[in-house]
Amino acid sequence: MNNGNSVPQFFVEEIHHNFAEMFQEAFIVLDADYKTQAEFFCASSAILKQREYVKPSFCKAVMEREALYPTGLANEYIQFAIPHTDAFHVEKPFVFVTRLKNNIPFMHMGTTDIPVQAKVIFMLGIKNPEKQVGLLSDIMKCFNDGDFVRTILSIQDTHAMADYLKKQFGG
Amino acid sequence: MKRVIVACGSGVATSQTVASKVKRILQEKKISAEVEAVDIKSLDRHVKNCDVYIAITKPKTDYGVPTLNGIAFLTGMGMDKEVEKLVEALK
Repeated sequence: MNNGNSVPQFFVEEIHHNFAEMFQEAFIVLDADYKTQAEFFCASSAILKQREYVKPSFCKAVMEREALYPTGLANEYIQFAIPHTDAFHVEKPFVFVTRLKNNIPFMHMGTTDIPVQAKVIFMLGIKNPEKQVGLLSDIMKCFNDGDFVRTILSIQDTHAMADYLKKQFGG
Repeated sequence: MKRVIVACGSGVATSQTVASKVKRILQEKKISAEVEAVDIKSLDRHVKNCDVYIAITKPKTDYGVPTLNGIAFLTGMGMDKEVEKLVEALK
């Protein structure tokens, strides 16, 4: 990237790219039968809270933020969502991965009225925005890769999914 | 120095990611500008002294500065067009 001439030093920043430890089997739910966003948020937040990864305020905070600033996204391979909220509500960083049995509508990011039918949800627990700045761009890179999408849609068990994701996000 | 601001709902993920991508693009193009991720709550204050506003959320009003689609930078879809506008605005 740096071809050696006239790039001002202050532009160069270290971007962390190993997020393997943010994925774990306990935070992977496959073919979940949720009917609404609320069901998804409540069930996932309960698991996170029980393991002390989030404060009790997380569920309400992430739902409110999703309503105000939606996080649905779509590309040629998949429709998905990346809900997240202020670091204040997060105790330890995580990515909570849910694959849905039936798609749930989320509004497309940057809109308030264009729905996407999310098949997969990566809920992000961002604790240190500076350290985790590479995470979202890595997630985008993965979802823009047809092989990655086909793999996460076909993996049969949470253990294999955790292994695969750790490898993909291992930097 | 020209100033670019990127704003999203919480300032924790999307705006940081987009800001970092924009910095890299400007670096590659050897364009000197300051890029900052800000919280949407402080947007009104920051937007007054910036040259480009990259919006992740739907802009509520016209701030009178060139406004770009931040989601294009996040997903890569339609990014080339936004990069062109960015370069133009920073000339």
